[in-house]
Amino acid sequence: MARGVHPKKEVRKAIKELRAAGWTIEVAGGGGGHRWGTAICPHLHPEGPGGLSRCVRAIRSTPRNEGDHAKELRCALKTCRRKDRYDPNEGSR
Amino acid sequence: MFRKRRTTFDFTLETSGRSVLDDDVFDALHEAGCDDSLVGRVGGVDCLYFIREAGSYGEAVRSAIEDIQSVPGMRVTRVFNELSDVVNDFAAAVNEALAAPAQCPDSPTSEERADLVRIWEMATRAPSGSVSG
Repeated sequence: MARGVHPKKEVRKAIKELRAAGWTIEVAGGGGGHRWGTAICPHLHPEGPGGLSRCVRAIRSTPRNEGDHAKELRCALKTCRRKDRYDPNEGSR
Repeated sequence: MFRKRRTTFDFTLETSGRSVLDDDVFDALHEAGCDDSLVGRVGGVDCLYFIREAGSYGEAVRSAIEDIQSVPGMRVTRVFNELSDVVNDFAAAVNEALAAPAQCPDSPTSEERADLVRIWEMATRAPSGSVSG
């Protein structure tokens, strides 16, 4: 399978949704680790201890259950839409 | 044929110590049994969001804390819900236990007492390994 395409179908679908919501997907270098890539939120978090920061999620290449990993990624999307935790306008600056 | 229904519990654990996004820590957590979690950093805070199959919520949370703290330098500081600021009674008791008080807090149910005591015992011990990086 081509680099940049996740091997698990359910996870591929969730990654597509993340991309559609403006998340940046960085594919790992293929050094043999368990991380397939990194998803970076388009919004800046206004209350991080180090000041403004973007939230980041690591995508597994071999999750225990691909359906659950896809659910976890979709949950990250919902979390970042919470207006009390994230300012959606920050991403457009 | 009878097929047992799969029971899963979802919760998030906040961690301190080493960065969960470092490749070596990420791989160590995966191999320690956290391959059912989504590892990330939210608002500058490291956390693992689990969807874990277990016999009870208490077992799910306790086993996830054990898995994380089996990695040298990693410590769990809080359990919370990803999509809500409200936590259930057991999670509230776990958060009390994680603060390592002199005595283990009361358990909301007798079934979860053993899991809570185990979490409190882990919290009162020094973090495993040295913290670096």
